Amino acid sequence: MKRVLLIIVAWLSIVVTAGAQSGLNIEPLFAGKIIPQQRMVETRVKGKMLSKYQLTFFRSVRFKANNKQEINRVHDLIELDIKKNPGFAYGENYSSKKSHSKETFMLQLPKEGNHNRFLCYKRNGEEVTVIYMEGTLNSLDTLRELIK
Amino acid sequence: MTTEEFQQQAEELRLKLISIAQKYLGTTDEAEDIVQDTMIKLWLMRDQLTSPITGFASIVTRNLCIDYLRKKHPTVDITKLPDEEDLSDDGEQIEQMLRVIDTLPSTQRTILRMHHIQGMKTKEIAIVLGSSEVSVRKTLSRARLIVRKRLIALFAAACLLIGVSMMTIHLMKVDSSDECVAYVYGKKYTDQQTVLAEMKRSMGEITEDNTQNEVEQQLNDLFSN
Repeated sequence: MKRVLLIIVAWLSIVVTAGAQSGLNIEPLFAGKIIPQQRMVETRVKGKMLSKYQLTFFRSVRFKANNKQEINRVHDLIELDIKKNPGFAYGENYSSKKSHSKETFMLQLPKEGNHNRFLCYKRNGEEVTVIYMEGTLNSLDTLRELIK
Repeated sequence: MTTEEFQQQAEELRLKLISIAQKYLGTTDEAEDIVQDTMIKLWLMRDQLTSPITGFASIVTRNLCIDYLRKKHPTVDITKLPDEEDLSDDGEQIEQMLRVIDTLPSTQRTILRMHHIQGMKTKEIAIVLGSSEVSVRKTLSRARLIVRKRLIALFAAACLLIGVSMMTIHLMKVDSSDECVAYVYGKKYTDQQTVLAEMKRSMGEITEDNTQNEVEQQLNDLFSN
């Protein structure tokens, strides 16, 4: 009985503590499985302090890639998320086609409850930024306005 | 009772006591041993006894048989014992079951304990309790059913409690938890100012209009090639 109860507790814990961005291919980056935490800047904000930006949850990672493999790995994971949600991608890849030194993806994910969800990726040379956001925010243009 | 009187009655008594012991223990060596013990007890207290001693000797034999059956435990091959973890789990289950058994009515509790804990057969229980074997079996069956139902109810209650607790924690977390944390190259910051500054910086990276920078970058790319 003790064992069965432990299994139930473990299962409930997983269900309860599952991250908001779980289910995305890029999730391992947020979990520190691709770039070690010592090499990146990770931000996690949740709650009232985000109301100004019409958000309820914000999570970002920023890091400088050491090699092309790291860039490619993150890029490929983002690509997979875009392919998984093709109807929601409205951003343009505006990287320099010659050097591929810059690229930006802005992806609106399917709604979860009443919340809109966004996944943003930007690479400027070796500098990579990935953001996951949730909230009532309608578009990233609105966010741009709110940040100003 | 004198020594001679005891010796005269002993042989006749012995055969009768063996038949009593065999009712409890079957035709085994143990039945003989029990009768031997009875005779020793009677011998030691022969000065206090008065004829006839048949009735008293029968009671002593019966009590010794019951004591023997209570103490008797089935032996287990040590190599077939489960590992420590399994053992502790089983131990807990048994304790839980014993607690449930304690809540049963006294007859059911006694019969269940005699059968499952003392290892007595229904026939033996019927003899000890002066009841029929059919009646013992019925009571045993009812007792088992009640124990099973109560254990299931306990398990369900425990699951429900855990589920409700986890949901409550989750809801509390969702409703009230404000999280504000930043890890800057492995160093943790929780002060709002630093975290929000990092957040804005990341947002800025994404939303900034870099048309001018991009043109410069493209020119750099062109000339660097």
